[in-house]
Order: sequence, then C-alpha cells, then structure tokens
Amino acid sequence: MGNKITYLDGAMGTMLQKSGLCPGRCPEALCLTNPDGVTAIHRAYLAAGSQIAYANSFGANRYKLAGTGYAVEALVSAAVACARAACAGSGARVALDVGPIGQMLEPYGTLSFEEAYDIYREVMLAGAAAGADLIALETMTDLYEVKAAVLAAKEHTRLPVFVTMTFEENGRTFTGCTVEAMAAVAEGLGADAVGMNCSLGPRELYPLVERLCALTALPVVVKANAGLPDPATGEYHITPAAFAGEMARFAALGVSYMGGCCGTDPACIAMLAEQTKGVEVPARCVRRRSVVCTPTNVVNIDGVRIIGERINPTGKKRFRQALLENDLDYILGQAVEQADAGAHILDVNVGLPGIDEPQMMVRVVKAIQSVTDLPLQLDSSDPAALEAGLRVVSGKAIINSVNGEQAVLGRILPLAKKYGAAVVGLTMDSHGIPPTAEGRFAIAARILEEARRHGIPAEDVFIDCLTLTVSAEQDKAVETLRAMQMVRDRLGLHCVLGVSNISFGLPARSKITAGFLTLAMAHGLDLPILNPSVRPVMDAVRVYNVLYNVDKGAQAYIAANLGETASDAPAAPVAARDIPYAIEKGLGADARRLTAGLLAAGMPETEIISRQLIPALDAVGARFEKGEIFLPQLINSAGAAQEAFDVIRTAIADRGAPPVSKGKVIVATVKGDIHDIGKNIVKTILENYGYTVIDLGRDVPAETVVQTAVREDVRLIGLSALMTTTLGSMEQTIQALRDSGHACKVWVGGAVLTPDYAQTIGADYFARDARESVAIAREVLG
Amino acid sequence: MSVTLSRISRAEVLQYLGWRGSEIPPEVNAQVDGCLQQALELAAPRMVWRLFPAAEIPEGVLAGADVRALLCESGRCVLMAATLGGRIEDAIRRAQVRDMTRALILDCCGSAAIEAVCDAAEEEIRSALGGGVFLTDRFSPGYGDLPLSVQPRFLEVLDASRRIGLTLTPTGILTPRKSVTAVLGVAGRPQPRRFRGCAYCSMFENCTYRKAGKSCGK
Repeated sequence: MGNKITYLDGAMGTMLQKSGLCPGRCPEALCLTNPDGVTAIHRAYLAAGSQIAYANSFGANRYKLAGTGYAVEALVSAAVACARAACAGSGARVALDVGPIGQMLEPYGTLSFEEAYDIYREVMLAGAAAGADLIALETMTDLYEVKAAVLAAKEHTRLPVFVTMTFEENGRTFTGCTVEAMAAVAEGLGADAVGMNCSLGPRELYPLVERLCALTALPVVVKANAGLPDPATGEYHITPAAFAGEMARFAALGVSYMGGCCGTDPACIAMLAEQTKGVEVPARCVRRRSVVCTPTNVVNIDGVRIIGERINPTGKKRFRQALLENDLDYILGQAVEQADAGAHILDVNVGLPGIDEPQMMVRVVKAIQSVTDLPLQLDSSDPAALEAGLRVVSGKAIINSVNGEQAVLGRILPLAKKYGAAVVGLTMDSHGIPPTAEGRFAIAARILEEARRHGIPAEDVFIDCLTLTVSAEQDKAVETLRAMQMVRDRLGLHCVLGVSNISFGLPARSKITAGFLTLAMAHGLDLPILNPSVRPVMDAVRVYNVLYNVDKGAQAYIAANLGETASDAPAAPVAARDIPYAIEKGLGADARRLTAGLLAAGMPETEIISRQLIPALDAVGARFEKGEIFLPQLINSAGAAQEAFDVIRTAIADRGAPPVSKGKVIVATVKGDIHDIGKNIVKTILENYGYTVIDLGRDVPAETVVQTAVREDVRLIGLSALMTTTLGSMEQTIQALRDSGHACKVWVGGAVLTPDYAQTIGADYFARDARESVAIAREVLG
Repeated sequence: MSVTLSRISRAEVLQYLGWRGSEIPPEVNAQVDGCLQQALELAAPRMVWRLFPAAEIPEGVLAGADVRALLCESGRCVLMAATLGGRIEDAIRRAQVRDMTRALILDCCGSAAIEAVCDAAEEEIRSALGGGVFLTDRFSPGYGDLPLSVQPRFLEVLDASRRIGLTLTPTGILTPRKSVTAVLGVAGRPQPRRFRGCAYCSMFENCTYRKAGKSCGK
C-alpha cells in the first residue's frame, strides 16, 4: 500500500536574502516588522506545491532573542500568523519551526537539560497558542537537546512533532549522534516523524536516509540543502532540476515528506513536485530490533551484552560512604573502570536509606554520561527515582525493573512508554518467586502482555528469570535455566540475569559463577549483569562467543589471552621496594601493594600518611619547584599517592572508623567557566596531603559556594577561572563570601590571573600552580 | 568543510605542559606519544571561512586599533573558524576520572592540534585565493584590543553553528572547547608578522618562559 508524498517548503533565510529583506541578527523579527514580506515567501512556496509551511520561527527562543527586545510569544505568534495567512483557504498546514537553542548543553557547555527544557517549553506553548498544526524540530545536532524539545512539546501541546537532525557524510551529527541513535530515541519519545535536514545535498544524504528508512517505521522527512556551499561565499549553486532529480530518488526508499533547506527556493520545490507527480511511496519493511543507546553509542542486543553491576551500594561500605558524602568521583571511577573492562551497559543503583534517591539518581546519571558513552540501566524500586533518572538520561535506557505485580506494572510501564525506555521484568509477583520454570514463564508472559497493552514493543521487554543461591537452594539453578530457555524460545524475548548471586556462600565463587554464566548464555541469557573486572566471568563470555561462532576467528579471545594488550606506559622494570620510590616514579599499583603490606603489618594509617606519603610528596614537589621534573611527573606521583590513599580509606571504612582529614577545602570553577582541568589537578594534590576536598565542579554559582562553605563550615576556598570574561564571576563569588560574614580564606588561580589582580578582587591568596595551593592550605589549615 | 590534521607538534605539547628542558623519563615520553596518537584519532577537524572586501566586513565583527593595523594594506579579509569537535573533550573528561596526567597531556595535545588545524586551514584558504596574494597573521578575538565580545557576531556571520557545530557559552567560551576564530588580511604584497610575540599573548603576565628570559617562539 503506497502513500503520496507530502511536500514541505524550502529555505526561508535564502528567500529573505533574495527578497532583499536583510535578515540581520534576528530574521524572526521580520514576522513583526514586515509580515507581508514573510507571508509572500510562504505563498510562493505554497504556489510551488508545498503543503506544509514552516513558520519563520527557527530561532525564536529566549536565549537567542535576549537583547533583541523581542519576546518569544510575540515573535512565535507573528511567525505562525504569517504562515497561516499564506495558507488560508489552501488546506496547507502550518508547522512551528523550532531550531537549536544556540548554545551547547552540559557537559560541553553550561546549559542544563532542565533549562533547555524550559526554554523549549516556552516556545512550544507559544506555538500551540498561536495555532500551529504541528511542530518541526529542525537542524538539530544534539540528541539530548532533541529530547528536551520533544518532551517539552509532548508535555505541553497535543501537536504532532517532526524531528529532523543534521548529519555529516560520516553519518554522525557534529556532536557525534548516529542515525541509529536518533531513530531509537525519537521513536521512543513519541516523535511522529523523523528525518534529516540541512548540511548536505540530497546526493550526500542518500546513503544516510537509506539507513534511516530501514531503522524506523515512522514517516521519514528529508529537507536537503541545494548541494554544498561555496566555501568563500557561502552560496549554493545546484539547479532546481538537479535538486529535484536527486530528491526524487528518496521516494523509492519510502520517504514521504520532502522539502528543501539552505539554498533552495520555490523553483526547487515546484520542480520536485513536478518530477514526483503521482509517485507512490512504498511502505517500508522495518525489522524491529532491540537497541539501547547513548547519542554516540548504539548497543544492538544481537549477542551477549554485558551490564556492569558495580554502581550499586548493596553490601559495599566504601560505595555507601561515597554516596553519603556525595563523592561522585568514586562512583565515576567505578563507571569508567567497568567501561574499560568491557561493559556494554551500566546498571545504576543509588538507593540507600537516608539519601534523596531521585536527586542522587539525577546527579549520578548526569555525571556518568559525561564520562562514558555507555547506555544506562536505571535500577530502583522508587518510581520517582526512576522517572527523575529517565528524564535526564541521554539516549535510550533500560528500566530495572518491574515484576508481575499489577500495581508495579501500572506504575512503571507508563514511564517506560513515555520516555522510550526498555524495561526489565522480574519473574516474581506478590506471591514471591515461583519455584518452577513454568511459574516464572507464566509471569514473563503476563509482563509482556501488560507491556504491549501500554504500547511498549516486545523488543523493549527483557526478562529476568532470577538467580537463587545454589548453596541454599540447589534444585533451583536449573529452573532458572529452563525458564530462560522458555522465554527465549516461546516469547522471543531477551533475558537479563544477575549471575553473581549463584555462588554466594561457596568457596572459589568465580568458578561457580562462570560455570553458571556459561550455561545461562546457552539457555538464552544475553544480558548478564556482572562485574566485568572479574576475569573468569569475562572469560566465560569470551569462550561462549568463540563456541557459538560469534567471535569470528576467535580474534577477541586470542587478543584477551595473549597477555595484556599494549598500554601507553611500559611496565616498570623493577617493582618498587618502598612507597617513596613508588610515588616518585608514579607507580600506582606498587603504591597500593606496598600500602596494603604496611597495613597488614600493623602500621597505623596515620603513620603511613605522615611518615611515608607526605614526605614522598614533598620531595616530588620540591623537585617540581626546582624545574627538575615537570607537571606530568608531578601528577603521576599524585596519582600513585591517590592509589595508596584509596587503600587507606577503604581500610578505614571497612573498620567503620571516621575518615581521617586535615581539614575541609572547597574548590570550584566559577560561574560561566568550564575550564576545570587546573582545578581538578589542585584537588588531586590537596587530597594527597590529607585534606578533604569538596569539589563543587565547574560553572558554580556564587550562592552554591557560599551555602556549602557555611553548611560544611569550610574555612578555605579555592576558585579558578580561565577567561577574562569569567573573572567577574570570581570577584562576585568572593564578594558573596565576604557578604555572608562566613570567616574564610579565599585563594584563586587561573591562567589570566595575576597576583595584583587577585588582590584587587579581594582574594587572600594567589596560587600560580597546584604546589602553591598546598603551601596555602598548610598555612591556613595546618 | 573538513580540513586535514596530519601531525601535532610534540614540541608544542611539551611547551604547553610547562617543560623547560629537564630529562623526561621514558614512561612520560610514552604517555605523551600515546596521547598524541589518541588526539589525532579523536580530532574531527572542520573549518569554515568567508572572504569579504575590506569595505564590506559585516558590522560588529572587528574592532580596535590592532585589527586596523593588521588590515591596513589588505583589500580583502578572511574570517575563519575551526574546531576539533567534541570527541577529544569527551576523552579528556573521561581521563580525568582515572588518569589525570593523561587528561592534562591530552588537553595540551588538543591545544597544539587546533593550532595545526588553523595552519592547515590557512593553507587551504591561501590556495583557494590563488596566486599573488599574501596573508597577514591570524588574529583572534581576545588578542590585543580585539575584544571577546565580538565572538557572537563573528560566529553568526560565518553561520558557524550550522556549518561546523561551533557555538558559544553565554560567557563567550567557544564550544567545542578546542576551537579558534580568527581574521586574516588578504594583501597584494608580503605582510609583516605584526602580532607574533609576547606582548600580544594572553599568557603574558604569568608566562614561565618569559620570566626565564626565553620565548615559546610563537
């Protein structure tokens, strides 16, 4: 069954220039200052055959309009009115055209997801109030920004939403988003059509559109440029006939919405309409696949994909302590370590009595996605925490979990549907875990049926048949295996399973775990939740991939078993004999080993710090000051010392003793600035010296510094700024601290600062480098 | 448009790292080499430029005596912007979690890389302009008396957001971070190096080389 092509319009900016209407800094303003001119352009497109007029509202958001004197609502309604006036009586529809906000979201820039959402909310509300028929998000490059915009549109209007992003020839947007990720996320969020616009001409877009058409059942939109622009002038030279000829090829791929972007004009659209007159767009055949993703990394679940289990406080004192102390660095360390060890997806569980779980989920999700590109599995029994995490997650996530209880399904499945997440269903209900495979299968079938009823496709439902400890219930392991086989074979669903529990209470646990894992994979497990740093379980996966002909030529297996893969640093020729040597040479593993040895020999933690670590660091610092070593060596030493401290901190946490500290210090990169590497180096080195460093991060508002200083009673505060434009917020932050009456010393650093300027803005100290910061901390805190 | 980055200057990376001639142990050399390699892999250099007759330079892009001096013999001028893209930033952020040294070295590799990209971009512009023309120094907002506040207009004129994904934070920081905007004069005869040297450098006050009586050679 075929469809007709719906013709969109062509470029607005190009036409404004051609009409001699100088678009200037705010082309949207013409909707107010010269509405007839704008309407005339819309009319020209309608006369050429366009059936949807994109209002001249692309940049009408409050960030771009700041300083122009125009309000969002006024411009949006004027833009929609101009398009509406042209459409009157023609049956053509008006699209509210919405472009990128104009600055990058975190972590690249300083715009938060929540603020982006709010900016779009204002635009969407104005567009709906003005009577737009649909919303067209265009020229987007950041899928996270797309998410903010689609959520804003869906939560505040009932209008259909078209999403088109701008790709380069390598199949990625400027921010690295792939075609596959766009399809998965836009479809999950409920977009009504998806596609591409701008950047390339139709010829260059063809292979990308072909890919997209195979990925999504949604209608596909293409608004190509008129070829590629001349670099010197920025002008486009393709003829309307050439444009239309290339565009016409899209019909056979199943593209049902076509128009033009930069450099196109009514002649292009007229030619396109003529060349495709009467053409039927064939229905597309899309193979549904199970996919989770971040914008830059798509994980197809068409083989065993490892879900890292380490971000979870259950049974881990050090992790609990990190959560309670807001120590995100520790959690991020776990995230990156698992990514490096081969995890494909990360489970994120931050549930702990006494913490605000939704808030912590948001912080941890944002932090993790700033340092890895792995998709996340949000793991919580609190629907509020799940929803908070689902909102800010970038990409398509997994919810862990629902079970067969109707109440739970009713609470959680709507979240999966709304945010386009996959969902794990545990085969248990209010009666507990059924003892037999058949009982668990029945629950799995029920979960699938409920999910479908909520509009969640089967490929987004993963089943967890639950592992019971084999030392306690030896007859149950085989039931888990049988249940997975039934789920795979009869329901066609993927299976998730936390495997580590199987071996609880037995010696040499990893042997049992690895054996069970191998059997489980053979019975349908393709999403094992495990610790990827445990060699035997990862070996089990590698062996499985060889035996099941997944790892062709056993290449991955061979690589993993030929010893360590090459790393940057050559192995140290000899093992360090003592801590000072290990620190001087930056040998972290040796520093760990030696520290653990001293602890085992009964040396108190404080003595290791004061007699071994600090003198070693001082010696390294002195050599740095004399220019005998340079910054990378200083930081290597600091890194080795950190490893030693980590051993000490874990020992203290395991003993349940309070952490040792020489005093609290705040460090922050000031509001508006995102250059934080220097600040982070200072933090590392201060931590080496036993100070508790509260790192407020970057782009930190003055109020946050003041509130934290007062709340935590911190007497030494370090501020960094690297731009002349952000020195002002450094000064404001110091002023705010002084105004608060909180007694504290402030030191500042950053490339554009000088001692004189530091004094001018009211700082107590200026530090040229991280070493000088240590001297300041010693003077103030001892 | 894309532009080729074929190598990154190791010497420049060491300078950014504050190296002043001490012996570099082999493991640190290996770290630097690894980062240089990774930076080359992660860089996705892109550039955009436009040529304007001197009389038609859009309003609000250029300001100050330094640019006037730079362009005094130039009948035309080129506005350009270049970026490495965001992937190198991702790697720097990630490295900061477990290996701060690597993060620092990668950051310096990124800074050296964007300079190399600008050099390559300048070559492309030169060849696109044909023979008989001479370019001035590259001069960027923030140098001398050309204020950073022209940056929004600069990017707008180049349509840099749409063309190469380059935007600004509200405080005027280019994002992706490893990016440069610059103006070059196009003249009919060889142009002096007016703005190379310490006085025009934003590091002037704090530069350890200058204090040691040396120069970083730019």
